[in-house]
Amino acid sequence: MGRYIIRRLLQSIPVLLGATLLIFAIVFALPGDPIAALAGEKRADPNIVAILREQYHLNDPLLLQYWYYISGVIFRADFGVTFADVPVSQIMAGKFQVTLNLAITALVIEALIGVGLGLWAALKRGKAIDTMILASTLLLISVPTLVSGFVLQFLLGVRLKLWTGLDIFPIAGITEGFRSYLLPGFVLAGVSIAYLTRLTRTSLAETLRADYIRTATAKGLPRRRVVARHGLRNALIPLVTFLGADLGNLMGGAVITERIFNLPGIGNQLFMSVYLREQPVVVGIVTILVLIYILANLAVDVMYAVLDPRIRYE
Amino acid sequence: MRVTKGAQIVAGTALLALAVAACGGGASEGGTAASGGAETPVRMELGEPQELLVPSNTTESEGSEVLAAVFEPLVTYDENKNAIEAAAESITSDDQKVWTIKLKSGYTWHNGEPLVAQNYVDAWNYAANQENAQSAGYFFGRVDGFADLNPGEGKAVSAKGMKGLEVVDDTTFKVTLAAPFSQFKTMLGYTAFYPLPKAAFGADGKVTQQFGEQPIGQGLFKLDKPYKKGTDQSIDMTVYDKYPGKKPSNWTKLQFKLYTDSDVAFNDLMADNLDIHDSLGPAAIAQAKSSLGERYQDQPDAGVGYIGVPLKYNAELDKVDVRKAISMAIDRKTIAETVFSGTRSPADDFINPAIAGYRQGACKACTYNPAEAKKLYEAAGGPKTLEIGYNADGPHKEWIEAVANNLRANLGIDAVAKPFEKFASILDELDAKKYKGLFRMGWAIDYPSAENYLSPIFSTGAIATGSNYGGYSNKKFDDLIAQGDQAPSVEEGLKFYQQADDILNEELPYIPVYFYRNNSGYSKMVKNVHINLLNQVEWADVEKV
Repeated sequence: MGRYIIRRLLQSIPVLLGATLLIFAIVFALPGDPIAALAGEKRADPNIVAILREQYHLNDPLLLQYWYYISGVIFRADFGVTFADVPVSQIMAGKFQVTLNLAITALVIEALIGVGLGLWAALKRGKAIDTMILASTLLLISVPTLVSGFVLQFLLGVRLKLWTGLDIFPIAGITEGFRSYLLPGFVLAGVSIAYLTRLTRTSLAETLRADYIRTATAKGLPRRRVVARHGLRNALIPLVTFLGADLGNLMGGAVITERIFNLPGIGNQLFMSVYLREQPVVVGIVTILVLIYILANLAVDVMYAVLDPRIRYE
Repeated sequence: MRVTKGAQIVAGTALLALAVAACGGGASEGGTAASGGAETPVRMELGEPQELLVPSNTTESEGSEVLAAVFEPLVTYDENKNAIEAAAESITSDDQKVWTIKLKSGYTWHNGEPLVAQNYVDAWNYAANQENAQSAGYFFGRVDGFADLNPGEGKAVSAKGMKGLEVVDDTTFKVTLAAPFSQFKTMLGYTAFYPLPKAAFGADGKVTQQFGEQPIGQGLFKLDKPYKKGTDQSIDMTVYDKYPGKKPSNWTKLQFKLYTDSDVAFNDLMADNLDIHDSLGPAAIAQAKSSLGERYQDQPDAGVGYIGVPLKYNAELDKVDVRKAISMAIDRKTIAETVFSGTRSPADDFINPAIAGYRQGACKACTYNPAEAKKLYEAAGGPKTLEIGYNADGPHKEWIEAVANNLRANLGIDAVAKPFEKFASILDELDAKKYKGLFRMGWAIDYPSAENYLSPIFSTGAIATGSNYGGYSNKKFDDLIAQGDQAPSVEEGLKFYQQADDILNEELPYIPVYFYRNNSGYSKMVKNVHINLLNQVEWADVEKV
C-alpha cells in the first residue's frame, strides 16, 4: 500500500507541471495589457506602464516568464506577488481556508442528508415517501445555484430575521464564524445532495437484491444488521467515489456561491484574478486545486481497499 | 468491528469539518458581534481596494474612501461645490502660478508627530517620481519640475524632487506651477495630494508595505490594525483623540465591510447587518425606495457617459450635422429611467450638474427630436451603417444597444452595437485603423472643476497625453481653456470654461448621453448621512440613533 501511494504521488508531479504550464499559457494568451488595465478606462502613463511591465517580467517570452514563476515556487516556495505587491501565498492561505471550510461544511451536509434520504427511499422503495424523495431531488437538480442562493439568502437571511428577530443565518461574509457557512454550504451542496440521494437509493436497492443479502436474511439476522452491515457497506463504494470526487468539485465550483454570500474564498479570488490577469494568483490557485483533485482521488482509491478487502494494490 | 469503519470515517470527517470551520471563523473574526459590551461600529459598505492603502497609488473609489477617513485633505468642498480650507489655513496666489499654502496648527500624525510642510513636499515628490510608478503621479503634471522626475521610459531620474516645491517654514510651503492654473486649489482635496509622514518611508526611500497595510494619517480615524489585503473582510478604525477638527457626536468606531457584489451588500443592509451603502445597483433601487423611504438618497454624481466619435479616424463623422442628428435621435430620458432604473439622468451639457458651471439645457442638440434628426442626417449625408463599440467587461451592453435601436428606428440606418473585450481594445483597434465606428466613453473627474470636463478630454494637448481619444482639435477651444487657466480667480476662470463648453455643445465632438447619479441608503441605526462631492461620507456629521 505504501509503495502504491508513493508511486501515485510521483506520477502527479508531471501532471502538476503540465497543468501549471497550461494555465500559465492560457492566462498569457488573454488579450489586453494587465498593467494598462490597472488604470481603468484612462490611458495609463506609458512611463509607469513600462516600469511595471519590467518589474513583473511581462516583456519576456512565455517560457522565460514561466521559468521565473516555477523556479520561485520550487526553489523558494515563493508563489510570486500580485500587481498590488501582496504575496500570493498570503492571499491563498486566507482564501483556501474559507473555501475549505465551505466545501467541508457542504460535504457534511451533503453526506448526512443525501445518504440519509437515499437510505430511507431505498428501504421504502415504491412507497409514497420514495416517490416524494425522488420528486424533491428532481427539484433540487433543476434549480440552479444562482437561484437557490439568492432565494434562500433572501428568505432565511433577510426575511426570517426581520419577521422573527432570530439572527440564525448571516448572509454575507465570514465574520460570524461557523454559522456563516451553514447557508452557503447548503446551497453549494444542493445539487450534489440530489445526486447522492439517487445514487444511494439505486446502489442500496441493488445490493439488497444480492444473493448474500438473502443468505443473511435466511440465516436469521435482524433486518437492521442485514441492511447496515451487509447492504450499506457494500453499497458505499460508489458513494465514496462520488464524495471524494465531489470535494474537488465543491472547492472549484464555489465561485457562484462565494459571490452570492460574499465569502472571500478562492472562487471569488479566481474570478477577480482572471479578470485582472494576475497570472501568479490564477496559476497558484489552480495548481492547488489540481493537487486537491489528485489527493482526493488517491484517498478514494485507498478507501476502496478499506471498504472492500478483496481490492488489493500492489 | 469492521462495519463501523465506514461510519467512523463519516463521523471523523464531520468532526474535522466542525473543527476546521470553527478555527476559520475564529481567526478571521471581524468584530461585528461585539463582545463584552464594546461599542458596535458604524458599518460602511466597501468594495475591495485595488492596491495597498497608499494615497499616491490610489486612483479608484474604494481605496480613496478608506484613505479619506484616515487623512485630512488640504481642502474639502462645501454645499456650493466650492473648495474650502481643511488642513490648510490658506491657499493663495497672486499670479495663479506661484501658490502659497499655509497649514493650520494642531494637526498631528497618528503616531504623535506634528504635521509639517515637509510632509507634503516629500509625499508629492514621491508620487511624481516615475521610478516609484505611482498611479496618481500624473496629478502633479502641472507642477514645475515634473518633467525632471519623468524623463521617460528607460531613463534614470537624476533630480531629487520637483523644483516647483519649496518649504518656507514648518507650516508653509510654496508650489510653483509650470503654467498658471486658476483651478489649482480645487485639485487639492484629492487623495493624491495627501501628505505622508516620515514613518511612511523605508530605508530605500520607498513607501513601505507595512505603511500600505496600516497607513498613518492625520485625519479623523486611526486604523485599529493592519489591513491584510486579500484576507481581511473588514477595515476597522477608531476616532483619533488628538484630531483637531469636528468629531462624530456619539460614536467612535467605524468599520468598512468588504463586499464583492453591491446587491449582496444591499441584502445585508436590509437585514440590519450594515449601516451605510453608498453604491446601490440598478437592481436594488426599486426595493430601496420602498423599504428605506427617507433613508434612501439620490444625488448627482460627477460622472458623465458619452458616445465617443472618432473624428480623426472617420471623415464621415467629422461633420457637425451628422453628430447633431445622431445626438437628437437618442432618447436619453428612456435610457436613464428604464435601462438604468433611474441611476442616471439625461445629459444636457458637457459639464456635470454636481459641479459649479453646469447650465441646464446648454446642449441644444441633446433634446430628443427624431423627426428633425432624420432630416438633418439625410441632408448632411451621414453614413448608412454605424457601429457603436462598447467594452463588454462593464455594464454597458444594454444602454449601447438602446442607443443603436434609437439610431436604427429614428435615422433609418443600420446601427449595431459591437462588443470589445476591454475599453483599451477599442482604442487599439481605432489606432490600428481596424475599427472606425462610434464608441462608448465615460468620464469620472479627477478634481471638481468644470475645467476637468473639458481640457483632459477635448484639448489638442490631450490627444497625445490625455483622454482625447476622438482626436478633436479646435484652436479657439484651446485658447479659451488657456485663458481660463490664467484667470485671476476660480470664478473668473469659470467664465472662460463655459465659453469653451459652448463650443463643445455646438460641435459635439462627443455626444453626452447621461450623467451619473449616486444612490445610497442607510439603516435605522444611523442618521445625518451626507455624501460629498467625492462620494465620500462626511463622517463627523453622522450620528447614531
